[in-house]
Amino acid sequence: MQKLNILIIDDHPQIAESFKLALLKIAKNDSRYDFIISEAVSIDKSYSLIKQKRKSFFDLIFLDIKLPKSKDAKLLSGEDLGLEIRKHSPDSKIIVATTYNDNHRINNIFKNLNPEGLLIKNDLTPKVLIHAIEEALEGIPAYTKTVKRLLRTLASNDVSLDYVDRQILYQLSIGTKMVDLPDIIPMSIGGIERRKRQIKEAFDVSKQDDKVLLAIAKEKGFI
Amino acid sequence: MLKKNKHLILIPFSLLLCFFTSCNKKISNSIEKESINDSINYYIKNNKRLFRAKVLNDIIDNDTLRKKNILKIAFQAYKNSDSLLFKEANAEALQLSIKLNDTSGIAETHWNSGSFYAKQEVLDSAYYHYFQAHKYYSLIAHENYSAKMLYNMAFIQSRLKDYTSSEAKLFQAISIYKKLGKDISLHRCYNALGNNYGEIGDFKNSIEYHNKSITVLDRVKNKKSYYERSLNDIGLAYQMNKDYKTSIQSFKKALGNKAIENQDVNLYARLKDNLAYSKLLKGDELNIEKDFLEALRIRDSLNDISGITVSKRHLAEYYLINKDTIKALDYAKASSNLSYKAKNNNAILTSLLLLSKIDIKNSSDYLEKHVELTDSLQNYERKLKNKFARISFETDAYIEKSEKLALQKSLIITFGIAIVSILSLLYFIKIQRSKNKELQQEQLQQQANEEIYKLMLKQQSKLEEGRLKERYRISEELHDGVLGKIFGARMGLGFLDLKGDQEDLIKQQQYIEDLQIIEEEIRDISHELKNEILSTSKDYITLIENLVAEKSLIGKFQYDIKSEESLFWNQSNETIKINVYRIIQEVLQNIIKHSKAKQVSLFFNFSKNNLILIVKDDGVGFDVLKKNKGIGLINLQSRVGHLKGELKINSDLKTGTIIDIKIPYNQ
Repeated sequence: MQKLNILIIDDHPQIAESFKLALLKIAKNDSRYDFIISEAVSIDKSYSLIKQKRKSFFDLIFLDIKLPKSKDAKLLSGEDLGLEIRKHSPDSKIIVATTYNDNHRINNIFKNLNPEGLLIKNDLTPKVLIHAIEEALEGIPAYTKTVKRLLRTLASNDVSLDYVDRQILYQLSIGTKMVDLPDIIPMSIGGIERRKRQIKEAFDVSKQDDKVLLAIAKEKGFI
Repeated sequence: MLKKNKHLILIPFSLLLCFFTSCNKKISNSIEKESINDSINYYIKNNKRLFRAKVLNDIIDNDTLRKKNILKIAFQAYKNSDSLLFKEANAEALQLSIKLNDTSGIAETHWNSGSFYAKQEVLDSAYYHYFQAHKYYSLIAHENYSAKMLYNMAFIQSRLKDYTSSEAKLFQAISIYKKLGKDISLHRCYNALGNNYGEIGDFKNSIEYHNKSITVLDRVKNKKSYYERSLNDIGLAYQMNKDYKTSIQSFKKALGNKAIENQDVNLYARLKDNLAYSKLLKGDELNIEKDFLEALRIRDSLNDISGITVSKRHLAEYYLINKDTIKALDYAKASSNLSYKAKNNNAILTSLLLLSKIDIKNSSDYLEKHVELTDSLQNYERKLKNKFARISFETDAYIEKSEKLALQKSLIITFGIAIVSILSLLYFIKIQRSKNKELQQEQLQQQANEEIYKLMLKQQSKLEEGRLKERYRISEELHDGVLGKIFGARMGLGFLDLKGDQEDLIKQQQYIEDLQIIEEEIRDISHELKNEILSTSKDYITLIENLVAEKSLIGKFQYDIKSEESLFWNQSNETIKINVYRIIQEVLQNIIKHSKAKQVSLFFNFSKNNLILIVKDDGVGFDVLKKNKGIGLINLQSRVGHLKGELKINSDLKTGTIIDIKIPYNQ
């Protein structure tokens, strides 16, 4: 019988409730597990809770990505919070649960947090959720189908884009104007143009416009 | 009825009117004209019914012909000494000549008048007209006639004892005649000169010029009695110089030509008389009484008044010398009376002198009369001389005046031109200024327009931005809020351990799955809302689209717009955007105005920092090479030039027009 400390970070009470129900179900069915569940609805609360407890106090943390930013505005999203968790509680397993299903975000979450589980909320059903938690507890990467699909696409991809490239593509995809890009990406407009040209060449769409580029980048899982 | 009556009255009235008008009309029918002209010439030729000729001549409507005839009539009237007709005809001839601007005609009328007044012994008027005639003949360089007029003037002046002026005019005439080879005229001039010198007592010159006049005659075929006349003149000159022997020789030489008695009986009598008189003065009185009487008899028969006067005076002298006082007095008185009758002043003077010698008792009376007459003659002559001088002077004054006028005229012209050019310059400047003002206004207008477009664009993009923000907000709300809540609810439902019918449990599961699908849909909608953000460039293109749509309604054409995605749309090249907007506006305006196009296509392409705009229509096209470009094309060119772009126009009368504009941006 293992006593496991669980932290659920989500600003939606129903979702937190769902995670709780899933955990209860696991505990009910598997006598190995016993969960002590804590909840937090904001970044500030979560952050203080983690810092309060000893290092790696929580065995498993459910982390929502879309969270209102911290009061001091230093932590803007669940992602930033996740980085803090990794710092203060390196041994805690993190299961990210997010409604975002775009490749860029997922990619970024992987790059930054490398969570033990990454769940796209829409993919989840009680069954899938329970299975995912069980996997994560057992040290198996727990991904829902969207994530798995993306990972496969990326794995089969021979194009590799660095962070800046993806950043440019992402910004263009959300409609950021080229002239405003240098404010977001620390590069000159000329440099950004050059990068874009290289990306287009890599995707073999040099003659096409940005729309085509963005479409293909999406297809290839970069955004 | 009344109306009819009116017409009946009108008919004869109008007929009458027709008749009158046709009578008044000048005859232009050529046949009638010829016949009239013939009858006029007939009358003139036969010196008959000249008044009738003049009346007929008035009918002729050809001014030139009328002038020709009236001149002939005037000349004929002059020959007939018909003063009334002459004056009328000559005045009319002068008027016509002036009207026709016929200088020769004007001169001829003056000549006629000169001859007319000379005949009437109105010497000043005669001189005036000869002078005018001379002036006009000189004007048209008619040398023969102008010399003739000089001769006529000289003749009058010598009559008035103004020998110096007369001499000058004769020399002028001589130089002309020498050039023209007019020998008889030359002879006359020399003769006149000889007489002039004789009158002033320059004997040597007198003889010399008389001899010259004879030499000139050698070249003349038909000498008539010119030679004998000259001999007579020479004889008189010698007589006056008291060289009676040579004088007699000269007269005898002339009389040696026996033909003279038949040819010029007048001259014959004069020679006889003169010869006898020279003999009398020499003291050789043999047969001279008979000669005197014969000369008198001939002259009587010819009714040669001046000749008779001279003859009687000579006879009186003869009888005086021979102491026959009674006869002498008779003749002298007769001579005096005749000379009074003929108003021959010289003859009166000589007869008075003679009478004073004969009639010793009344001698002082005669002498007194003589002095009186001499004085009045001298006064008269002086007056006339002055008048001639005035005539010449008036001409000089006239010339001076006309020169002055010419100067004035040229001054007026110069000033006129100057004023006109200044005025036109001012006008030009004014136009230029107003043009400048217009241009400035236009520029201001354009600036204002650009401001408006800028504002429009800004407004448009702000609108778009607001719209986008709103979409983004909705998207986020759906994604983060609604989606999360549904997910939570679905999971909650899923974890409920419901107990009931199997059927109900399956339905519940299905609803849960439906909810999952709804989640997906909501997420898709949320994404769609965000993805729209991709086409932010739409704001400017929308503006263009609105413009084209608006114009297509006016021009009744279909349109399509194809645009490549480019950063250009996102960049804030407001100037380029505005000008591109204006260029499209201009092009569309041209299409509406001229092309009759059914389809218009716009393409925006981008290549290496260049925006390429192609506007294609299927209209009637135009001649690109035509020099005279419309204001639309010029505007287009200036706009493209302003953006440092290139404009290419391809137009074909069959396929329409393609306008290709390349504008660099990103600089």
